[in-house]
Amino acid sequence: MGISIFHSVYLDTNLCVGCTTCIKHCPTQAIRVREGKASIMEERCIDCGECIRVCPKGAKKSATDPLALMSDYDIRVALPAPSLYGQFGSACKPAEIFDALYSVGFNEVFDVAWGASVLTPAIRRFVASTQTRPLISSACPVIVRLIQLRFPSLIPNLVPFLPPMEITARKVRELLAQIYQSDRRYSMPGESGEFDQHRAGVFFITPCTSKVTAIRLPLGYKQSMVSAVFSFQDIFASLKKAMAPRGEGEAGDPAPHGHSGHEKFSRFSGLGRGFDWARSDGELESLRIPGAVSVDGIENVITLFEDIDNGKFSDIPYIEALACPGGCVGGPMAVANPHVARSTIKAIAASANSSASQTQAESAKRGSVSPERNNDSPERLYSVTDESMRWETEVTPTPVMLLDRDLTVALKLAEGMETIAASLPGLDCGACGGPDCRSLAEDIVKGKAKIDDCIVRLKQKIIAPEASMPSSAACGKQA
Amino acid sequence: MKLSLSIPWMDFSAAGKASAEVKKLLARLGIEQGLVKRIAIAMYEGEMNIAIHGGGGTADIELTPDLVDIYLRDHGPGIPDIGLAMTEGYSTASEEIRNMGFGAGMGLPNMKRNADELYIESVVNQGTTVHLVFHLNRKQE
Ligand SMILES: Nc1ncnc2c1ncn2[C@@H]1O[C@H](COP(=O)(O)OP(=O)(O)O)[C@@H](O)[C@H]1O
Ligand code: SF4
Ligand code: SF4
Ligand SMILES: [Mg+2]
Repeated sequence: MGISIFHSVYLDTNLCVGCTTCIKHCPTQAIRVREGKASIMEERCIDCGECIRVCPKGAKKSATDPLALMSDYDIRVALPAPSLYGQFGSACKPAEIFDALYSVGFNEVFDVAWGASVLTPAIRRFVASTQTRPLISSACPVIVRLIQLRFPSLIPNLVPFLPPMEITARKVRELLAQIYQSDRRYSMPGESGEFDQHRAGVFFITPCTSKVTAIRLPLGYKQSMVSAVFSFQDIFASLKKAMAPRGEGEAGDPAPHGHSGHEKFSRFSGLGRGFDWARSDGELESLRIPGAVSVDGIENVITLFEDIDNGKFSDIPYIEALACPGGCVGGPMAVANPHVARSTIKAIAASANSSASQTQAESAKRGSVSPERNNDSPERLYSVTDESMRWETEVTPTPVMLLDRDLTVALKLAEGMETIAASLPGLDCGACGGPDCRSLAEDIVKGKAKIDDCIVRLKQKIIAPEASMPSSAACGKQA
Repeated sequence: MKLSLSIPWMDFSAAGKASAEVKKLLARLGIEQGLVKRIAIAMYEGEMNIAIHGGGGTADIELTPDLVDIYLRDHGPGIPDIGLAMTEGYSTASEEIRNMGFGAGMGLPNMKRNADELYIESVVNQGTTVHLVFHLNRKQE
């Protein structure tokens, strides 16, 4: 089946018919069809999920973690991505979704929108502190990987902060340790009652294929504090069921981990601006940086990055770049229609924003860490320094296209590639199993394909074996 | 090795294609990022000049372990006063072109800034050749 140790996106070989649709849409040319089946070149995959979107057979899938993993942990914390609140239609209140999360077995719920909301002012300060333009948001892991692979010269333009998911997960771990170690009323299930981070599961709930990879191969930090990643598609049905009106069969049963008094720090905070990060433009609207630009959809992002690479747009201060159309609401594992979800998120963010004080009261009622429980004010507990959100490790180029480390050898191979490319029809039809003629030439010099994989050329050879092969110039392209 | 690319006239959907192709080649060769950036910027400006002013033409890229030579050739109107054309902000681009975001008169000055060497040969009514040279082993200033 080919499930990768790092990547989320994989191929179900049984379903693949080798139609070559996906190879054309892959932004890093990571897919080839060989012997009738697609295969992904691991080192080139950025987990954007484009192939999942375009495959007519549903053969491209995403391997997130199974929900059953929850039972491996004594404390289970849900970290819903802001886009979760857009999945159930505008009639459904965030509080109901929050409650549903308890019902399905989480002890604690902590919104990733919180991470986005504390990151917002930090980014604003960073933008003011540097001359580099345009700065590029690093919130979407696909974008960071795209830059590493295809636009390494833009690495210095990335805003060097952890993504909201990780900022939130770190705070959650910190709070767990604080609460379980300092407050005698809370102890870990088990004999010793000693708090153990390993027995506390922090679960990110997301529509995003790239988050699985982001926790396995973190970008800009050493280790992720997230235990597992659950997809909207996997959890949707059980949340929906938990939200069904009471009295309707099982749904009315007392929840195994009902939230009455159980939760220690769950907060449904008045973080309207954080929720907004679920959709394109949302990050910009919270940042309020004049002249900033938002771009969504991987192809649009690439077009813009090419221009920046060519020296354009150095007057744009900040770019919110999201791989998915419409932002995270358009994530490959989302359930709701992204356009509908986008409006829902807008509405939620607006109302949460306008009633910040009311929500705060609600948050206190819901049992967020309160002064009575801890001798610390919530403000101090929830505070984060800009420094603590910064990248800790360098994000480096991933030279996946490199033909050889030795320039002389690489030049020879490149030359061979161009010669082969010139003898190919230049149709970029994909029948060879590669995205274009040049990629077949590349695969040939790398010994991964042969010239007769070009069916068009082969056919011409059979029909007119004595005639010379048409150069690509004959097909309207310069050799 | 050599790479030859055609640059169509006034085809804005193709704008930047030659430059993108060169960038891909440089990535295959593992050329250092700072240099790639300089080449990309100069190449893009040259490509746009051929597309806008030169009536279309070609880009020939020659690579050795020491040098990248880029010849941008067209058979267009030529440049009557190269010194003037090199002046920052000087442009003969039409109103229409300017409205499309080109014609700021910074192209040639940017090419000079980014290339290690720049040579322009131009004959009025015959065409223009811009020769850009980049040194591979020289550290970026
Ligand atoms: N290939 C060319 N053929 C004819 N004229 C050119 C060519 N390249 C540049 N020029 C002339 O030089 C001027 C300055 O070029 P440049 O600095 O790139 O600015 P811009 O392209 O914005 O006008 C152009 O406006 C044009 O008159
Ligand atoms: S789109 Fe790709 S994975 Fe899907 S059937 Fe076609 S070749 Fe196979
Ligand atoms: S836009 Fe959001 S959902 Fe899509 S890849 Fe980026 S972070 Fe993931
Ligand atoms: Mg110009």
